[in-house]
Amino acid sequence: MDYHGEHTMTSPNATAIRRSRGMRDLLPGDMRAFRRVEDAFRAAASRWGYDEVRTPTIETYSLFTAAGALTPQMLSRVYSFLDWDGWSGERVVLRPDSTIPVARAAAEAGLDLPARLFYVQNVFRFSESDDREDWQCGLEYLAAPPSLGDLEVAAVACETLEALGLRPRVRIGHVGVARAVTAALVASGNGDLRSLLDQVAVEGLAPLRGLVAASAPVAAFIEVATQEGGPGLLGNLAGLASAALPNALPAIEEATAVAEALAESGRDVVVDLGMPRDFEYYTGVVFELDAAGEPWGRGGRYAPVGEGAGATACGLALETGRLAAHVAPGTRRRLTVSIHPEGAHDLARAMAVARALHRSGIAASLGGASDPSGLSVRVSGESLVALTPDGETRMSALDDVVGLLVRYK
Amino acid sequence: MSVKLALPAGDSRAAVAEMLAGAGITATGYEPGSRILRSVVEDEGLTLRVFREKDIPIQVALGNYDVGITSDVWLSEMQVRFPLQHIVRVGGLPGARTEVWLAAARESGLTPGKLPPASALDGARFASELPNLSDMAAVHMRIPRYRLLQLYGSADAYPPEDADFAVLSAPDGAAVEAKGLVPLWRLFSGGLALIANADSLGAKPLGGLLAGLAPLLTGESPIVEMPQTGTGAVPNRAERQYDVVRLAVPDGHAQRHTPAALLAAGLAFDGYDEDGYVRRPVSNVPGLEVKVVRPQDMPQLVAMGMFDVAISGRDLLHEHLCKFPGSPVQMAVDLGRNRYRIGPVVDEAFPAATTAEAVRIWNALGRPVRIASEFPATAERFARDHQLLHTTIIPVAGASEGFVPEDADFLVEGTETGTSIRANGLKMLDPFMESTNCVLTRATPVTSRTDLLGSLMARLRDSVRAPAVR
Repeated sequence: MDYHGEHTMTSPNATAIRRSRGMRDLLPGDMRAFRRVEDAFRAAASRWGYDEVRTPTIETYSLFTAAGALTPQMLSRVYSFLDWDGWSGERVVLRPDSTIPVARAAAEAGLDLPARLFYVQNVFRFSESDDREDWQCGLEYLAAPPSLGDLEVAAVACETLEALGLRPRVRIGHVGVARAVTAALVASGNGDLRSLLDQVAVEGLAPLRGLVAASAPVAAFIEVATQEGGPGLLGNLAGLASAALPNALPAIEEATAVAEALAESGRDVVVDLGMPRDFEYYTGVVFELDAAGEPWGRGGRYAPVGEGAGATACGLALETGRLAAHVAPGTRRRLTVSIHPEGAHDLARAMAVARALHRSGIAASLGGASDPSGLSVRVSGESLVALTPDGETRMSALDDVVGLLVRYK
Repeated sequence: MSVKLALPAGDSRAAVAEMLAGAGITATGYEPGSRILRSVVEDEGLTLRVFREKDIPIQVALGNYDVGITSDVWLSEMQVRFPLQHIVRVGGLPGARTEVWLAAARESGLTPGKLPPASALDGARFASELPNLSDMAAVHMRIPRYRLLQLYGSADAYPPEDADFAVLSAPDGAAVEAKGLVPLWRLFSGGLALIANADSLGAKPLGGLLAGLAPLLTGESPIVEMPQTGTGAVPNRAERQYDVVRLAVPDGHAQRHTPAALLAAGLAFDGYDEDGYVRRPVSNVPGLEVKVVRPQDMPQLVAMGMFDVAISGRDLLHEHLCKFPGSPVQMAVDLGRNRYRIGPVVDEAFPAATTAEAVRIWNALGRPVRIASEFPATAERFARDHQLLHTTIIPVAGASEGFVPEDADFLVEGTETGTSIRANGLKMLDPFMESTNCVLTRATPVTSRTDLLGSLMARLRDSVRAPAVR
């Protein structure tokens, strides 16, 4: 009987070893670009006094079902399963988000507040696009003071993007404005709060324009609020809010302080109160970082899980995988000198050459194929022959070899 | 090119058989009462296979079967969690409608149709054999830190002391009330569905089969409606009592051996015998609470400390410990009844007489070896212990004998007499374990009545030492 022939599954070639669907390999070229992004972010975050943390890949599911932490749409996309302790009934997840675990870790360890923390780690979420593992460079400024925290976090993001050759634009909004609008719509019988907030979270304020025929002042407010513009837009909106939506004024004032300070410090700022945002999660100023016509990160003020009523924090996450892909074409492989000992009696001398080059910050390895850059050293007794794009040079002192090759570093 | 049709076992079988006959589709071997799980109708180019309804959407989505007839509830249960399946619901078919209800105990003080606010439900416990629909309900209600107890069945047994909510199938809300529960929200309503694999629709000659069934199709669609956080009353929430010993006894097939085993230990419960049961039989031992639940769920219930003692099976304990080696559940007494063997089961034409010979053949296939089992963790352990190089485990809800050889290379399956295995043209290689019914306890008891627990264990141990019982 031919048991190969009995096989009827749709993926008969599944025996080939492949990565799990949606997961990501970072190969040498990817890693070089990834490290460039990571280094830029790490440098910017460190300059502003942030300390690095790393949280576990696996967290309890209930951490993310805590009130308001994640929406049903996000929770339906987590990788959840029973681990070895699943007999207890507690499910675990591959972390779908880093903000909540960082806040959890800080609370669990009793870190002093305020705490400035940053991380570089991956998150896992089901996606129909086969892109289910994302890397993020993120900041969490726990117990961040109003406005100061928002400014700081936005500055780190801008400096990171600038270091990568991008010209960032900060798009600023405030969830308090959308909350005031939806509350007014509910009060005037234009729908229920949950449905409206869900709609705004996905589509922004724009779809609400059609709902307010009966309330001209609110309609006017929404019309202006869905425009994009400089910080001056907020002043004009405040004028309308005084009559139509006084509840929106504190949010407008807070957004104004942040937008004006960023603009005056030389940042490119756009006020965009209509942008979609998760209103269960954020509590104050929200922002998005654009450059070269694409969004690269987002953040804002939120109430961290487990910190009690009134707790506040500010965070952001930059899309590190996409940023790495963007900078990859301009990221060169590090030059490596190939050292070729001619015989067994030249091995020790070859090692000495390598050590001397390494001490000078020049990458060098033994044998193998010559580096495409054309840098190599042939070791034969006392003779050292360096091959560079400029030709062949015969030497005998290690310092001479270093002195020659350091020019190509 | 043969068209493969997946048909439901169980309650729907008679109605579906009648429907197929009415549509002029020959379904040899699918007659009610037949034990055949697989047949080929050469003239119509049709291969029929009987599955538990729960398995049909999975088999059609995988492309192992082109067309299936199943209950909408299992299709929705799969699709709310796995939206990318290559499956098309062609239409509804006439048949009984099923609803899925979120329900609470009467003791909760909740009233039909009134959901409580999420803020009053922190840590609420859900019990269900529909985990995906239950999850969706809990997250839409925004219940913080909710817990889900995934069951094989009998969810209605759990509220109020073992769960705050049950999510269960019922014909309607009145049927939920008849089970002693309060129907709070209808999550789902649907009937029978004709489903097809999307790729098969584009590539295989399904026209004849679809033409036969087309006149029967109804326009009815399943309805999934997720609840929001409510504004109703704050529920009374019950916890288990620790000043009693809680005993779980089985329903289903395992029930027939249990009353005699209990009686041998001097235990008889009013409302629990070979012929029937009530959910909460009355114990003749003061301080002993008894509840009837599915034996498959018992290891987890004891591990979690919801029950102190359970009468289950060694096969189920083994499965649980394969999955959770650190679990505190243990076998306290082997009751020695309900004896059967578990081993690899292959097609009778498979060219091996021993497991070792079979492993050599499977490892030379050059593709994953497909193992179907109602005991997926046990099957995985078997594969590891026998150094099978590359395997795919197919968890199945039942009717597993029909999987071999087309849909699986072998089963990890139990047999008492071998009748069902032989009837389906299969044979067992070397059995690797023998199962009997047994008493489960927790290594570290949670009840404060350790005196009562100790005396109960002594009675059960003594009962199996007595010659009359052996």
